[in-house]
Amino acid sequence: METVIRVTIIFAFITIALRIIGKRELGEMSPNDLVLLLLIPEIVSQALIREDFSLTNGLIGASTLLSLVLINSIFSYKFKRYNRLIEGKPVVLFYHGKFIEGALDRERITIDEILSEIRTTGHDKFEQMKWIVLEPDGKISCIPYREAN
Amino acid sequence: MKPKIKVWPFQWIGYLFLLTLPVLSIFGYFDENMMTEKTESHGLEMSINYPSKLRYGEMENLRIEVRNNTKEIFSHISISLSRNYLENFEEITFTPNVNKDYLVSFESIPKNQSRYVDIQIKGKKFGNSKGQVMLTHENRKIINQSIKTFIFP
Repeated sequence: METVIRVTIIFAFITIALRIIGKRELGEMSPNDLVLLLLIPEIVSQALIREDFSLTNGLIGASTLLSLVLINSIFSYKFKRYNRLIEGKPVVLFYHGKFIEGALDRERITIDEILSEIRTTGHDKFEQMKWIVLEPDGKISCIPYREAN
Repeated sequence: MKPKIKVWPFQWIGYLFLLTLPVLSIFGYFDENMMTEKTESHGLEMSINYPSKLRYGEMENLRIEVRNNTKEIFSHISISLSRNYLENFEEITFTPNVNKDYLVSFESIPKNQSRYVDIQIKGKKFGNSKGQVMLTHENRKIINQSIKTFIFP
């Protein structure tokens, strides 16, 4: 019983925490993010298993976590609002030659980062882009004029 | 288009299996459980508080209480715990101390008084652990109570 509650609390906490720190942190791994993702399991593992190293506890913990992921994915698929709440919405960073400064500030994305993403699409100028969008998974989509049309 | 949840038939079985463990756990199936057995004979009452379910590596206390409900003093009382019950446990400690046959002796129990034996056990091997707690008075068997503990892996 206690393991199920502990796993559920930690799962909810990490989901909300990752949602709060923003999409950017999920899309690319900076050294800072890597440290964060490596340390989280270290910190929460003791809280999850306490001093119970039994196989039963491990199986209950793992199946609870997998069940939460399954329930979460069903809810995300079935209910749009829930999906928006958990996954977030795409954010427009650039549209028709103009940067949306508020969005860049909120998502902590620099012009250089966007330029780097534009280069991966085989372009080199902002002017060639119609849309630049930050996707819910943290990736930046660059849509050039011809493709957008 | 309205999203519908569709899965392959074998996936349902997997989902049910996956959900079984947390659901059973919520209802306390895998939790440690204590039981009390009380038996009385010849005015002596023996009460055993022991874990009926325990997880591997978990420590628990087993307490045996012997109470004299008569108006006379009982002397040469001994309590023993069968060896086969303790085989599945480790780090076993008895209070008061015990001899090699897991036997605790009390010189006497005055009227309306109790004597206690505390045994600390730690789950080692998974499965059922069955055994007997025996109460003897002047080498005469008075009570023989069976106990059973299931150790989860």
